[in-house]
Amino acid sequence: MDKTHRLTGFLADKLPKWSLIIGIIALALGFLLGHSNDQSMYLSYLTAYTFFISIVLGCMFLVIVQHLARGGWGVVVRRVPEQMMATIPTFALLFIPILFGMHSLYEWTHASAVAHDHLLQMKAPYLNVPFFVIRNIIYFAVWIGIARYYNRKSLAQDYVASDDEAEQITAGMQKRSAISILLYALTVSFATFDWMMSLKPHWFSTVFGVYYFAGAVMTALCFISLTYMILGRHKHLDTVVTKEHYHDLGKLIYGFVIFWTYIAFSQFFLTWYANIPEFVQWYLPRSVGPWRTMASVLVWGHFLIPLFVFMSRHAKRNLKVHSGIAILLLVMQYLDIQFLIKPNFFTDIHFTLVDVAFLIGIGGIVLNRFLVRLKQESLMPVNDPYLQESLDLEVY
Amino acid sequence: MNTTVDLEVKRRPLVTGNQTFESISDIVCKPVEATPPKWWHIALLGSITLLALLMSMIGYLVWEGIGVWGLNNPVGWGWAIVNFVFWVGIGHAGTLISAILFLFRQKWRTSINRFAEAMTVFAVICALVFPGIHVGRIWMAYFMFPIPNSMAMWPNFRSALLWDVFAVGTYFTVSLLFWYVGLLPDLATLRDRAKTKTKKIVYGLFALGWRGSSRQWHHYEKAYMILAAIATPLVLSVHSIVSFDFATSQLPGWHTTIFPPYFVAGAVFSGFAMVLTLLLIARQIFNMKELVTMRHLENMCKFILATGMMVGYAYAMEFFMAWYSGNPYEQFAFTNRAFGNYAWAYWIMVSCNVLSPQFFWFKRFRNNIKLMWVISIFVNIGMWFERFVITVTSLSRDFLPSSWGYYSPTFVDVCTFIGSFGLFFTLFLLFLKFLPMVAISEVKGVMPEANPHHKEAH
Repeated sequence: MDKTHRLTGFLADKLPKWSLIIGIIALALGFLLGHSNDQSMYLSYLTAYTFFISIVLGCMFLVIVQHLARGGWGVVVRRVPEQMMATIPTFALLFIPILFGMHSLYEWTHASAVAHDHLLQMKAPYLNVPFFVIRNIIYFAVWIGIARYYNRKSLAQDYVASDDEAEQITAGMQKRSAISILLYALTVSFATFDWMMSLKPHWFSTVFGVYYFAGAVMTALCFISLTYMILGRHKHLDTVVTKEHYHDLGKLIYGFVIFWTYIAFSQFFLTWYANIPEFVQWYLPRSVGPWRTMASVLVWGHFLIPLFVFMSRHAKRNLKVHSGIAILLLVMQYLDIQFLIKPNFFTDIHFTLVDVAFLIGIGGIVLNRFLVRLKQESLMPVNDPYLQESLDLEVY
Repeated sequence: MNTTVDLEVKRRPLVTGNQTFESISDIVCKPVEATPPKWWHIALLGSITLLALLMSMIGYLVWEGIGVWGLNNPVGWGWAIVNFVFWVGIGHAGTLISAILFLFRQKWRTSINRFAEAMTVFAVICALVFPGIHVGRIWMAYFMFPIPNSMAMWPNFRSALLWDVFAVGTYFTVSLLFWYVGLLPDLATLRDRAKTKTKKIVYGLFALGWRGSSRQWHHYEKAYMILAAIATPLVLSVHSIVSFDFATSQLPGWHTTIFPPYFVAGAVFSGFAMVLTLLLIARQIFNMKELVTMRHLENMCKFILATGMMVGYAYAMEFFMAWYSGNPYEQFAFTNRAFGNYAWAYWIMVSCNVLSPQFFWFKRFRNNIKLMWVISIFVNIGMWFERFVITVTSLSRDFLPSSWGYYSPTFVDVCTFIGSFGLFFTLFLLFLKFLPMVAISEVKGVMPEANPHHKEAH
């Protein structure tokens, strides 16, 4: 194995250490600052949590789909999502505060509310505490299973002695990709319903799972692009991950920006057009006051600006523009999550110190887990059968 | 060769059997240049007969009025809209293969794209027949276009049906252009190979003076890329708009937010099935097994499986949400689908669309041509029934039981639908005779010989 593709220096030593320390302090501060208002605090926590897990779930999709499609071009940019998705057990742990906060977050956990609400009684076979917990255990079990399998196999491939063995490992990963993507689709959809849709238990939308998925993949792609740029600045893989790869990542980012818009527009438009009270109840608080402004910000930042700025080949290949768009879209994803969660409870924009604390807290801990994993192994899958294809990539 | 490793990991060649550039031109041009065989004449005759059936049914409809169809009071939309959506759906594979797979650099598309694009164009023509004749007073059909007239009457821009006119019209135009641009180099090939003066002139005319210089290729490839980029959103927009026909209403079973992506997935699903149905026959008859290899067929099976699962996902989400909504009307709409008067149609749909593609999980079945063909037929049937189930079950059970009804088609409905296959196959058979059914230049481009360094020692 080529030892030169190891993470070293600041990214390997100081950053993981400090991010963990800062993360834990921030997380503790968040709970300390927020505990006077449980509901507000748990909403902030849920927002930060669903933001970061969207990156991880998006990474998981990209890894599976690369095997499903037998993709060759992206081999050199696969290790980062592979290591990122493997942080999913940390998210299982970080989910525990949400279980404690269920009572503050979800109306349907209140026996008194259910007693006076016919609809909640109808939904009780699904929306009840034990089943919610069981479902979430299932989601995490599936995700941890997928992440561990793909992560371990890919890392094991780095150490194989012969091409045959490497091909066998890839064949196995390809074989399991179809069933993985199926399980992934179902678990992500229902997790979205559970975490975010049931915040407003009267409301429902069949496309809501796809909405979150579209944003998640886009965010993961931005994360991957940015991570490789940062690695490149620290002289890691800077000659391996070239403009050609950024160009292709950029195309995918662009595609998912439009896909997200398509789904978001479909949901909004059909709701607006039919104007049925049980559907519009979700959009009403989002169409007045500051949330209306937020909706415009999303239209511009999550769609129009990337649509025009990122259309050109030159923009995708210009790393300054590329990173600018990627950062913008990461911010937009966070705002989008805010937009999905907070208007159910607040008529005003609700962004407090607690939000900041949890963002830094969860972000810091995840960054630590990610970097610790990343530095232990090679920065690219050195024995992948398609590696040469990926190294030779040229986008005409 | 090590057989312990699944060969799938290795890239399989896209063209098998020691083909050269010349032999590829020969194989593809042969059906165009040779005298058409007997079966072609018989098939064309059959198709034209069906086309005549379509025309006479349309004539009868225009003469008598919409009453000759099985439409009744709660069910104001019947086979016409079902057939429209069915045909538009079939017309989705072409653009997906030529535009989206092009952008994704899926080189295996080169052997099947021409074929699928032609199907797209013909299927959209078939689709356009139905809304055209559904307006009843067909001489007023121009009202669908935003032409200001002396009465200052404009179409209702807020109606999804009007958006259909634009969406399908755009789709047809762009698909046709895309198909034609792709044809240019091949038309020039036919021109250069032509033995008679007439052929030389006609193919030459349509080849627009193609000489194959590197300057022309340079411009051509740019144009092709731009057209692909323009066509890509259209693949999604057309069927999304078609889904709006239903989803903008307030009807339980129609108004659901997953409709746009769900319809698009279904359209690609049915389009691939139809391509497979016809391609399996064509590659047999025209001896193209080395151009359309098992690898191509397997990939198509996988596409069918994947899109079939997406459709299954949408069915499941609709059912779950109907229950989750707690809305008795929603719940009724879906219970009624599965267990009501039209349960037979619903279960045909589920077994054809969700169950039958499950065979494609296994490589054994993805390599079994007969089974593949049978499944592709099932999917075609299933997707027709999907539109039937959506349209009819929701309408036939109105909010008040007093306005419930049962819809059955009349012979005019049935014959019009059968006749539309005549239109499709007439066009298709003409295409097989007069145009190259595989993109000659593109297939050559994915062969190892196309690489300028091919003959260099490694």
